[in-house]
Amino acid sequence: MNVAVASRLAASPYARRLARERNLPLDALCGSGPGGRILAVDVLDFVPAQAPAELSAAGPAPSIAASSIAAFATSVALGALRELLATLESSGNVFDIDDILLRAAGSALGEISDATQLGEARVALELDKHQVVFAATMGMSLTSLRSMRLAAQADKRDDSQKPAALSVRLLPPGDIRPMMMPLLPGRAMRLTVSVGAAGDHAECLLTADAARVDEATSTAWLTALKSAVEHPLRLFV
Amino acid sequence: MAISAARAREDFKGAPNLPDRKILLDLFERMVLLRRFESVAQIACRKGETPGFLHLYIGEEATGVGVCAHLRPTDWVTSTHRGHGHALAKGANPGRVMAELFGKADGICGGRGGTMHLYDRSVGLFGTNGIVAAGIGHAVGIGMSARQQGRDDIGVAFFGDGAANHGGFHEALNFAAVQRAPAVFICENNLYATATPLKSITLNPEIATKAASYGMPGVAVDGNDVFAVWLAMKEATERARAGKGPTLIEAKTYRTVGHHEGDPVIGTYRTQEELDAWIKRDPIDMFRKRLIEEYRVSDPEALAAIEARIEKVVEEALTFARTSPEPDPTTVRLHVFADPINPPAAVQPRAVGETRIQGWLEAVRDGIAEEMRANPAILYFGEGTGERGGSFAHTKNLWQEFGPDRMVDTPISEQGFTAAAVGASATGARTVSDLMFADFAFETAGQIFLQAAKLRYMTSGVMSAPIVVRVGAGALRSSGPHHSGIYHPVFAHMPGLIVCVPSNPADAKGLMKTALRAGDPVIMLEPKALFASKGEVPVGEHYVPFGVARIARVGRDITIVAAGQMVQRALEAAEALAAEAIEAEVVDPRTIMPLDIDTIVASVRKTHRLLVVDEAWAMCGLGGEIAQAINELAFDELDAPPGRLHSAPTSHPFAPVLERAMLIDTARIAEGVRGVIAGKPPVPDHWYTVGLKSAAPAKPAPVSAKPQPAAPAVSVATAADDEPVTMPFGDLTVSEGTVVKWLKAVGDAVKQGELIAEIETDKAVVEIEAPVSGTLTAIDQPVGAVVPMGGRIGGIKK
Repeated sequence: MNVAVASRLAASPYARRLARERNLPLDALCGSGPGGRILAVDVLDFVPAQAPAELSAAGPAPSIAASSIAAFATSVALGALRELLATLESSGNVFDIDDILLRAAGSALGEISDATQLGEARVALELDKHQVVFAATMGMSLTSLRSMRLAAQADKRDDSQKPAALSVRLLPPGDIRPMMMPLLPGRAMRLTVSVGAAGDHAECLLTADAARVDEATSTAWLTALKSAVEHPLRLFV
Repeated sequence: MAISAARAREDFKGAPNLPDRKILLDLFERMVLLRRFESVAQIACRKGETPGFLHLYIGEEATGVGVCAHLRPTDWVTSTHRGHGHALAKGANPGRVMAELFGKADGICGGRGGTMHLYDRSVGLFGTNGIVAAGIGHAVGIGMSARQQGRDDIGVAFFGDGAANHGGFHEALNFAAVQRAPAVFICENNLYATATPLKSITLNPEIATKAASYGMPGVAVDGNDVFAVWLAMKEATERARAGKGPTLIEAKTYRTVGHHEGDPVIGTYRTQEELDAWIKRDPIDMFRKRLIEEYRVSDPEALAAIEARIEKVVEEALTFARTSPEPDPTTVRLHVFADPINPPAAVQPRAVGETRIQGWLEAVRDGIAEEMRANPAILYFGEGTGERGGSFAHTKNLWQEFGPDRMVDTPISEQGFTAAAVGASATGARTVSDLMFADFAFETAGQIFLQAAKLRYMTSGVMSAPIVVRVGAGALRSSGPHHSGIYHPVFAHMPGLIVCVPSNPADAKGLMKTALRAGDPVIMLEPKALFASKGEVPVGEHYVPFGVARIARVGRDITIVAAGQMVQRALEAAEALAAEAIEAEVVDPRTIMPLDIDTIVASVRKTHRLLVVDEAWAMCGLGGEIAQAINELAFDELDAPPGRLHSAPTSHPFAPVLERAMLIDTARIAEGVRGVIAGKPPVPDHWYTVGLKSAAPAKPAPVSAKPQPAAPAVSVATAADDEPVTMPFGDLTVSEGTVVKWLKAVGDAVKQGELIAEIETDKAVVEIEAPVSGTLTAIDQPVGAVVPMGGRIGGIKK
């Protein structure tokens, strides 16, 4: 056993507790306190240094313990949204459901009271093996949001180490209802959406780190999301 | 005045007014009971059946029996470490007393008191006592308590010759005499204080003559002659009941056993010859002979029958003690405080009503007056707290309303009148003992710690002494080494004592009102520095419960715990830190014991950081106490080591610059908060270990430059070229005054020293004299204006 491993890491009791709850090994953390002491803020701001795939190859990945995961699901009616998108398309404005979900997720984050506790109220869109983080999905026009998304998708930008409260995963259309999805490193919440084959509804699964997001916040967020998608006009103004 | 024992015998030889035969035989029987009881206890002790010490009364029975024969169950006796005889003579059940000596559950104190702490409310036994002279003052208060409640019951104190040289004796006798207290003092002079001969420790071994110092009658009697004692006590009891005041009776007697079991009967301090001479004067043998031969009221057979009956009583007592169960160890924590600790009034929900701005002293005075109106038995003892209204004006107008019998002006005898307050409080007349300064509490520390605080526990909850010790506490503008301490950790150390350190007028009034209804002794430490402060006080009934902290400021980044005058300093620091985006939460515990640790823990769970700011010293203090509690209760919540700031570990220096260096100020608190948030709490150095290891001097703590204003700012008009007339600096606890009268008008000629204005403070009317001769050229403050000390009110041109 080498000396570095045997030496004791300085960490505040509160930081140790937070790390324990997140299954984060202390030696993955960088302490910002006196003498390199790991503080609570170091745990809360922690973003893994490596991509999840590589980590899993190297050994057990730092992941949230299953016991601290909470999951909530809801069905969202897409009728109103379909009609609206069709109307817009006929006037030459094309939007995908991805754009609407991004916008709705950001809007719902803005509605829950302790979004600030989750760090930046940013949303990460999950793409094939990478993520794109959007800082202010409500601060720009839906058209700009869409062009930003398409540009990021085109240049394969990876934002998986940037902070974001939530990641959004859109499954291929089909009648599979997601039951459990793991959280991605550094994300307190994950929304998985499966649009039904008929296109008239979507199954939404919210997984959350119960240590950081309590039950009331999770359900409030999911309720806000469902409401935003079912009454989509609000997302365009 | 003095009754000679010899004369008493002559008078009654065949006299027609010999007391009833039954009285005489009762005296005999009671003496036999005391002797047989202790002889049996002595054997049990030698067998190892009684834990602890055993001090026997053998040889002295005539005194206790002769005295107690005159007493009712509603009279109380206070006693000594040699007190089994007093307990039995006063009527305590022999079986339960024996069980107490055995430390058994059926003992008269449930096994918590034992031989030297025997209390029995049902027969008026106010404790044998492990502390020499401690019970003398209790008897004074007991008598005053009965008088205040309209009864002619009396307090009787037993003590030994050793106590006659103790301050407790002199203070109590003086206070009793001047108060005409319904009390009798019984000195059992057995010639030795433990093993020290009386004549070697005083040049006046005639203890009865010491009464003359206090203007009370003193009587010496043959303490081995039960009838002589009976006669002397008859007169003293009648005097006391009739309101004529106390009497000192010296009963000359001798213990024919060692000081305690295991101590040699004779030895370095007494001879076999002396012992033999006293055994010939054995009180029981002498009285037996007299009953038969002199009084002719009995015969040997009848007396033997009495002795046989007592033998049986004592045998039964021993069996009762032996078969009584041990106390249940799971009950060890019971009876420290009343349960619940708060009186019902303090926890009744009350609608938040009207408030008004009041000064600290006025608010507390109102609280005391409200409680004294509601409870006519409340007494108030203090030095200068009567007509004068107290050194801080803290009892102003109470004497005028409640009169000298309730607002009692005491001699400067903290021990004496606090003992009396303990006795009164435990017998129905709750009493405030006002000691003026917290520092002076140590003059009567024994009464507070050993008597008041322990009474509930020693009696397994049957008795308690709900005294309120009221003191001005803490540093205030160069009050100096003997008038600045606060000492709440010292008091909080003692189980059974409630310790209050309020921080604002509303809490001070509310805690005082709760204290005046509580079941336990309370020490009310009112920070003198806050006497001149004002605040919102609820109108009407307002109680603050013990053990409920107040969140003085809500914050998220750090918890500051502060009490008393440190609360305001902490709030000032919190405001300054808010500008740096640090939001501090300030928790004011209000009572140090009980301590609302739950509120502190809840705050730390939110902020994850802790700084304790306390005016008392660090060693074994509040900082260490609370920090360790957080370690134990909320370790996983800490994101930084807890910090503590205490006054420097020195006495309070007089020079203002030194005093400022010693005390915690706002800047130090802010610096301490920054340190804790940076993970580096202030490093204390109160252990004084530096000098032990090397000669390196202690580094002075870095102090932020901004000094705290130590006194109200003095506004001197520099523009005017006249001589300013100012509101003079006066009493330390007064900060301002109201102009009530101008005796001169602008333009009038004034002479140096001439009265020109009057200013009324909370304590007095201050006459303002012209500082120089000349013409009054300016009146800056009209009648009705409130002026700070040192503030300019006008000007004179030469």
